[in-house]
Amino acid sequence: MAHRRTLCTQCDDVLDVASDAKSVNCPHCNTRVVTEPLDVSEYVAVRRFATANRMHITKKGKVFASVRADDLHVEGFLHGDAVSLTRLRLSKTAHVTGNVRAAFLSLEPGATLVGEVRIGPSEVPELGRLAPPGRSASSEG
Amino acid sequence: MPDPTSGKDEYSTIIGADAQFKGDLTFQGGVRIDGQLEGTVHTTGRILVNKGGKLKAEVKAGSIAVEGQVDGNLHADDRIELRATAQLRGDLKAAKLLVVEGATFIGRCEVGTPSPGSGTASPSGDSRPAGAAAASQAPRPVAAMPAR
Repeated sequence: MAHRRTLCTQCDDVLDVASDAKSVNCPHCNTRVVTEPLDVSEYVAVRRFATANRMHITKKGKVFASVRADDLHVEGFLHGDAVSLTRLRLSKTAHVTGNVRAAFLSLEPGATLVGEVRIGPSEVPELGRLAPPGRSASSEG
Repeated sequence: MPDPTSGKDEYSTIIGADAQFKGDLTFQGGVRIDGQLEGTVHTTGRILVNKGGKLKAEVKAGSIAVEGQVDGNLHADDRIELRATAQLRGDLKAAKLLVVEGATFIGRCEVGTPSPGSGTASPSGDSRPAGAAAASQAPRPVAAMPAR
């Protein structure tokens, strides 16, 4: 069974999870961590909405939460802070209000973004934990 | 046939790579900055901060493209482009923003906002205030429940 490395969304410690695992228990902080890719096409209003995988807020998605994902793609509405360990992509229909932090930002003309922005590999120090010593952490998006 | 992307045609003013300028600059046309500039820059045209360019300035222009280093606030009437080698530390305000992967940006961003007062109205017309929704609503089922 294929495994992949990711980070706990709570304590940022390294997790080795099966590629098809939907959730795991972090052995370090004992938190249940969602590890499956999420496609959000509905209304979601929570305090924190996180996955240790990719997250896609579709055109119909409306999220009122702080979100965190390994890779985040927004086509719909997001009101809250957003953290992406690798890429944050805002399509032309995206409407994001909140502070964002990501290693890379890709923003299409037409997207709306209002908030504090911190973009760059150095702005996501957690990414360094994923790389084995001597290898770049940002080689894969 | 002249190349439409040549610097000579697009930028009537070029601040060379070995130039260092301190002060307030106002232009009518396009400006290409290859050197170092400190102060303020105003133009109704287009500004390009080239790869080797270093700006420590407040910039107000019709449109702005950044390939170099900028330490200051950018305000464009039309669009701002942060290209792959751009490093921006400051606030940014424009109607449109294009960010290429690789660009570094730290600061406040206001892009594509409609007229003040429209707040965070949702695209589908939901008038529920965002704050109340976040505090009181339980999540509807999605692909997976968020970790608590």
